[in-house]
Amino acid sequence: MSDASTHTHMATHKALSTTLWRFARRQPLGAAGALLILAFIICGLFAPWVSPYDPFDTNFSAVLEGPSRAHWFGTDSFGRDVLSRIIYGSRSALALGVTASLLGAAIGGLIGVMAAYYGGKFDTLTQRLIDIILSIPVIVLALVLAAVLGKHEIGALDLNLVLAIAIPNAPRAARIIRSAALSICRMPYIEAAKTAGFTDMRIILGHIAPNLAAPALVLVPAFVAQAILMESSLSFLGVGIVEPAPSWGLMLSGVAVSLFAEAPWTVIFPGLAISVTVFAFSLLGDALRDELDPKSRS
Amino acid sequence: MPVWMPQTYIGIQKSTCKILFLGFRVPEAREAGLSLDEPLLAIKNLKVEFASERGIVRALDGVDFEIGRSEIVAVVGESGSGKSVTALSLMGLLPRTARVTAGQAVFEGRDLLKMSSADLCATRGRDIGMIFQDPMTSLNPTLTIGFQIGETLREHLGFGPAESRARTLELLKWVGIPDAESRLDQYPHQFSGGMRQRVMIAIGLACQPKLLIADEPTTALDVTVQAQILDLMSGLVRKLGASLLIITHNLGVVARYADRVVVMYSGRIAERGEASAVFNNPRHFYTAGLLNSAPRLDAPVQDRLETIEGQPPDPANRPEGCAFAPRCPHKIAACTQKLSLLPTDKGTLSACARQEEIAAGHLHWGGKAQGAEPTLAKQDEPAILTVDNLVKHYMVSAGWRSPMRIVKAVDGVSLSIKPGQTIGLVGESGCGKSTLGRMILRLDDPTSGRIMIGGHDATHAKGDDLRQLRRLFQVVFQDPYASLNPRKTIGEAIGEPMRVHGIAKGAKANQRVAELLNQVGLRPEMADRFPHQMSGGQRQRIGIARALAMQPKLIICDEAVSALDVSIQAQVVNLLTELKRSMNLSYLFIAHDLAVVRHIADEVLVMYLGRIVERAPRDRLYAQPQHPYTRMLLAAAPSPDPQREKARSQAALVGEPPSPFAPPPGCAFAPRCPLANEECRRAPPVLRQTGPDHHVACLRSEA
Repeated sequence: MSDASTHTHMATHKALSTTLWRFARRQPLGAAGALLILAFIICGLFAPWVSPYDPFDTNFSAVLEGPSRAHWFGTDSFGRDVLSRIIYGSRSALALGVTASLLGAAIGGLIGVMAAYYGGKFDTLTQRLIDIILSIPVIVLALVLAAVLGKHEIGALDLNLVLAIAIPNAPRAARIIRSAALSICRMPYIEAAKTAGFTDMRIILGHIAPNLAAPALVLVPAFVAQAILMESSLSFLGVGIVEPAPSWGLMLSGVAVSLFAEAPWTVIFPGLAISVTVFAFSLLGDALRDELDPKSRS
Repeated sequence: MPVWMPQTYIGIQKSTCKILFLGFRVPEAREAGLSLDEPLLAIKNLKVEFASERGIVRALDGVDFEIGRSEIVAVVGESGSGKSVTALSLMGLLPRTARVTAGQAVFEGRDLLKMSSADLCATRGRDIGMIFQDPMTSLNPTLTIGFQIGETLREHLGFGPAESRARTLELLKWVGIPDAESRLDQYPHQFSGGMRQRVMIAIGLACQPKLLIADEPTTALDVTVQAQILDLMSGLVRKLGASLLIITHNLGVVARYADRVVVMYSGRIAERGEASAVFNNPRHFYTAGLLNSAPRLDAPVQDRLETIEGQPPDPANRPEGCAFAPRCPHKIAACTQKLSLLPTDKGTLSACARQEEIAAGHLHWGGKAQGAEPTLAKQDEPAILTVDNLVKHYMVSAGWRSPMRIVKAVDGVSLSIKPGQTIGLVGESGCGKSTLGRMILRLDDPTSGRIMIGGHDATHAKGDDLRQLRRLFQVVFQDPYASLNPRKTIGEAIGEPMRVHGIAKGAKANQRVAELLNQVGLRPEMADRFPHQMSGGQRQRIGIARALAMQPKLIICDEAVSALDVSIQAQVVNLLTELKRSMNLSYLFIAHDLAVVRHIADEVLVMYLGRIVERAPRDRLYAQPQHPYTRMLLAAAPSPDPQREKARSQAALVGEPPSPFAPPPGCAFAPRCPLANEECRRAPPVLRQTGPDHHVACLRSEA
């Protein structure tokens, strides 16, 4: 490697670290959120090393044991270590929850922006379609989609399950993004972009979309929670993740709920895991929203 | 309007004390036996600070003035001068981030700034009335007009329902609302802007207050309506023997109505005194500069408008001495020291360090500008833009039961612009001038007619053809805040069109951006900034640079300078004139301000309800206006000259532009026209030639 390229490489490296440091200084809460998400990602990636037990190991001599030194988060009705199952579960939660919610928000957002931008018949048509989709309960739609699409696993991630969760969420994203985009589409700077002879795609993606960061970044963390819970419902109904695979959603459903009174830890800890993840995404989302607003940079 | 109060009717409710009503009543000042020689309101050393992200901003930095009984006082200043903050602090309506740090506002012997909220409530709305700028948001849309006027009466005077209804009716007749009986039970949306402002005046005067505060009362209104509202307001105030405090940026308004004037600059008073003395013999360079930079109808057209260079200081970072010094061509060392208001030879007070030299006639603002001839269109050159019988009709439904109606926003307009020529398009709001501009820009599709740009038919051009054509014509919008994408840097905003159209790429594009910024009078390093870091005037320059990036032949300026302060407006008008000369640009200059149009246009078109009513070369139109509407517009435009303004008769101004939903039959102007007869009401008149290049759509223009 030549000197010059090493130099630029170091320069960009330095620039990145200073940017991150500045972000952490200005948005401590956002940085905390990012760290939490990072922690979950590390847990997921290095689950075999991080978790104290094998999540599949049943131990019928230690069924429904409360939190102890041996089992920090207790054990479930099969005597499996709850902490280990939560650590392994973060894999599917993040992979499925995050991809599905991002995908759903992206599809819906694009439809919403286009409906706002083109208006007229396209708008009417998509809005009525959304009305129809919204009239179907989300879980029913996801169930049908998951059942019809079947399984299509790439690695540990079931792509069709992602789609089944993403698509029912898209209409709501479309609604919210459309209403936010409507006011932006009427701004003179968008008209100026039209008179500058820009293509529609350039205007939509380059001029309108960046101004929608605020609603979108509020939307996505809410969807993450929704997606994790939907995954659990689908799993419960037998079309999602199948027992004994560890999943936060599965841990919250089924027999665990009926045992809540005598073994609350089987429900509280996976529930906490979901809440903390969603909270972390909200913190990061809020910080990103502020940081992306040029008014906050001075 | 201040950003912290998007719905002013909440402010109104506060000012009439609906929200904080506690039922107390202050002892009458008249009963308290105060001397009538004392001023009604005395503001002493008022200081207000705002806590902002950039630290403490001193919005008001020691303001002193008095309002006598039965006196009309105007506070004039540009945006950020602190004039609205003054009014809001008097009414106790300052936002939470603001703090009064010093000073008094003694109203009839009591300090408004130290009153308890209960006392303030009893004073506001009863002894002090307030009228806000925007009649569209100042009235609560869910309550009837009658209820909103009557509320003040019931709240402050304890009127019963019948009593308040009778009094409300009387008030509506006072403020000139026809058919008051039936309009009492109507909602704000059923009233026009001018009528709503009349309702606001009725609320403001309902309890016969001793002081009426009007914050930019006519800024949102059309010029013919503005004059009527101001006449009504000042007339009523005089009749009631009340005092009026007008907050305005419009020097013409001050000249016509004010007894005394307070000129504010950057949170301080620059000059104050008798209106005629201040206007005729300004003793502060800011006042002089302001008076000179306002384009006027009663002075010869100048080559360049006089301007005040630069921009007002950042209130968070104001110079210790004279705040105007950085922009003043005559500043001296003494200007950096703290200056106080001192009496001048004309009996006024000025904070200028060199007022004696001005008085002695040694110093003047600016030099004499040269007269300017309009650019004559070369007959043989092909027009850059030809618009032929353009029509835009909208289908609207007035309610779920009524049938669809056609609104003729633009109804058969033809015009042509030759290279290097500027056409001024003048008219009041709703006349269709912006719709016409949008159709030419191809942002709206015409219903019928033809648009030819640079010899190409642009009427139905689509896709790539249209994108290629767009290089020929660009736009500069009215609102400098909304016309730039907040997420793009200045350099991106100007450079992107060039890159997209392949005019310049890479480093060359950056160099071109720097050149363009230079050309519009900005520094090239501003390319890295974001729009929110720029002032209104700077943003408008960026908008112009963005339009120029495409190397267009024609720029459509849709009210391009009307949102700017007077001193900044003159700078931008001069810039447009210079660019036109150096680049042989053509402009379609859409505006409502006849004085500005006069300084930039070569030919002027006057539009009324979708049609051109008069078209003439600039000098001819202003010297010999023939259509009664043009005459009315010229008569209504206020000029900053007290003698001229006070002498002028106001009888000629009647009515408001008709609703485009229900246009009158025949000539649309007939209902307001002093010359109209039966024939006018039969069929709309067509444009006919009455002189060299002079066309008028009036049957009785010779009468």
